[in-house]
Amino acid sequence: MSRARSVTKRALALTIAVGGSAFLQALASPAQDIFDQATFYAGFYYNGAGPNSGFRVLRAQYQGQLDVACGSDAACPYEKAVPIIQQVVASFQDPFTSLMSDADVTDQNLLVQGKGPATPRVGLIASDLGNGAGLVVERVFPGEPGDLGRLQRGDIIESVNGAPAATALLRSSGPLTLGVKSVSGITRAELTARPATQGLTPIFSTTAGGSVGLIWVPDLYASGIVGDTVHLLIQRALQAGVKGLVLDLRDSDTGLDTEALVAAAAFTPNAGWVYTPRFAGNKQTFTVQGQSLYAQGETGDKVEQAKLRSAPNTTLPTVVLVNARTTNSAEMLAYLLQHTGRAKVVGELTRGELNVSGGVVGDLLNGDSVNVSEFRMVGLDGVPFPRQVTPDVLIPDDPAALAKGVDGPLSSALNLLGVAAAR
Amino acid sequence: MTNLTKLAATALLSILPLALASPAQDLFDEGSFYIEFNYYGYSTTAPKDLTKKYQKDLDAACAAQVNTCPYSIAADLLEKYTADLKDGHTYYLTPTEFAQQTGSIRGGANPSPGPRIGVTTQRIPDSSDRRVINVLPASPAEKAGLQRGDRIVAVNGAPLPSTDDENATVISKLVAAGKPIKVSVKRNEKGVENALSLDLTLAGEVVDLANVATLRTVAPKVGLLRVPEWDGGVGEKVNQLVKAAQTQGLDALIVDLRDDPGGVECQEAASAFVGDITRERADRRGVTFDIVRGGKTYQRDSGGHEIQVGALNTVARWNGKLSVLVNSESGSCSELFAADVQFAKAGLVIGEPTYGVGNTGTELVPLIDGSGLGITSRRTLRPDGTPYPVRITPDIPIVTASDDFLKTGFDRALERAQQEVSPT
Repeated sequence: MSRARSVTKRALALTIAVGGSAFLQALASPAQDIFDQATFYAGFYYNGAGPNSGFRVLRAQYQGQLDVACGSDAACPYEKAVPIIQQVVASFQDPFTSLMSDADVTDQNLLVQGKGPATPRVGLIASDLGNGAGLVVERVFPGEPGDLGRLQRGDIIESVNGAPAATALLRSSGPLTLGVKSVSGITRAELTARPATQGLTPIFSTTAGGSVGLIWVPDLYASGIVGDTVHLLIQRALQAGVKGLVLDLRDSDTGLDTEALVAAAAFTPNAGWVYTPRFAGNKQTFTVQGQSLYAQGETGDKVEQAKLRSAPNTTLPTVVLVNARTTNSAEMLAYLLQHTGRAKVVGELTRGELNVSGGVVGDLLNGDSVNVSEFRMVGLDGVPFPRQVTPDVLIPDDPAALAKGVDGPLSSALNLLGVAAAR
Repeated sequence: MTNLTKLAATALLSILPLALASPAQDLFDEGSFYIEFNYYGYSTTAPKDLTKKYQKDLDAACAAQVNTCPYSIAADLLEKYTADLKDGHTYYLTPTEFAQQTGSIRGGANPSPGPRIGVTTQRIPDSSDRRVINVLPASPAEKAGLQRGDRIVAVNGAPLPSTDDENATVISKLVAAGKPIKVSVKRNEKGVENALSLDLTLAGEVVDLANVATLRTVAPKVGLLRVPEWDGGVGEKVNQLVKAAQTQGLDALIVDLRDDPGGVECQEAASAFVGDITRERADRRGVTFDIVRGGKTYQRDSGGHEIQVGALNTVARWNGKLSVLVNSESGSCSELFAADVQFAKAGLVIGEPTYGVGNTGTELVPLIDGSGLGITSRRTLRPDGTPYPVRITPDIPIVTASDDFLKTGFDRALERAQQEVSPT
């Protein structure tokens, strides 16, 4: 979100503007403009765990590179500054702090509204098996081209339009013919990437002969929807009479922290955190109590941010699955359950954005935006969130095993719940 | 979603110290950055020079407390900084003002924090009496029959206090205490000043402070469409009210923009009176065209690429007689509306010369302490590249209309507008 809001409104009590000729804005080059913006946004607002010496030092450090890149070109274009800005954001050594394209921001805003991103996609997450063995399908987004092409988790994509399969090829535009080795028996899939009409929401299934409920949370973007849906799915699991739950956050691609908090509140009454920015007096504490999500500043009362549709408080034994692509808000959800002793976590070390939050603090004149770790995450008990979730049971993702129909981390989760995986 | 990189899970130690700056320096850095970078008005003073000037003041004021110097020091300096630009669209807002400004622009219901009777009043010069300037729709004041123009001469039987502060707050304090109050007013009738004396009893309640547009009939077939603020949603609302005026068979509309400081959506509203409108907006990003065409809103970039950004549910087009009332407090969006009416020769603008920020727009920027800045971030021009007028010169000037109203309670500007639109 941009910090600025455009309106046309005068001040309520100010003297009238006088005429005269405007001062001439000393013209900086386009490259200098976005360099000035990006260094300020990152250096001023950053409060993650990475090094930050402030925007003045950042500017002093990198201005020389920009001068070299621009030479004597007074109209030095945006493109010359972009690689230097990439270096500036990388200097924080914090993946959350990054340069986003206009399209990235547009997609993110659509996702928050519960819509699908505008960038066309086939709706598959696939991993390369290596050695020319193709790609294994890890996730299929319901209703999207991959799903409509009847692909399933565990399928192997061997070729794309006749060429050996590679993940990059799945992003090509135009019709794709996939050569497939599928669980369902199909050998070909015809599909074309397109913008998804709606965002992803959590999905429920059962496993281990119906004794365990499986809730997959693909992301946490849809505002006011994801958390409530998790609550709804827990109710469905209870109705189905399951004995345990697996919360699958593997590949879960961040979203809104508040949705993570609402979801966590279904499992533990003690979920929450303190957003800690660099600036005095600006800490904000987020909690869920009953059916209300609250935010409270350092002074003043807590303010209700949202109403939850229900307030289930499930005591079902629960295991959380994570992997290296479990990112930011999704890491928070896993951590809240682990740290409060509510659930064990199984899988890989998570992406490493658990300790920060924030967002787009400003857009640059060229349309890009700087996403900044504005806040450190601190628990309600005063313990800072670690950089990433360390699973109680460490099991790496194994695409080759998945291609053979074996989901090792899930089996391990079921073991912890005291049931065996159905084969 | 297919190109997923696995991140090496290396532990990161935070051993470097954070940048040290006092709260005052932080707030000043933030405010001065946005003004320097985003300002796009017509000021003859360069923000960069003001940053240098007030940084020196900040250094002096913070000398004894380099690391702890409080926000309030910078707030004072940003207040002066913005005033030095002498541009009514660039201003500093305290946290309370900023919350109020952003809240009102958002539109929607805005319940008052405590009980109110729902009037705006102003002290009458050389008197302790107060004049009712505005009555909120559906408020206790409106239900009790209090009217714009009424002269409040006593509360609970006692004349109003003479000191300014007490005079201004006596009514709200009594209302806040929770008991019903008796308000004694004098009202003009049939051209006779203070012809009626009335005692009205009313109790405060939580009122909706959302300053919505309203329509009422002020003479046979003549409607008064008042727009107190260009809040969010007002473009739609004005179109609905114009439709309503047509349904009621009104011949003439008087659009009252007096004391309306501006806001958003005046272009959609103006289109109900003049049809399609294109405005050019120039800012740090370049040139954009804001277009209302056939009840839909579009943005077109300088390359001619156009995207739809909104649509009115109710699209009205007024073809009857029209007057627009303005005063010296009609600013910004109100000035754009009046200019559109003048350009299209769709009606007469009546009243005082306006506030004088009609050729630019503001963006609101939140600052770290909850305060904020309005920054002149764009210039508004006609599609041929000529600027909108900075100030509206009414077709029928009534230069002292506001002062006369405050003194006498006679609304000469409204009377004149009624004459202009009434059949002769």
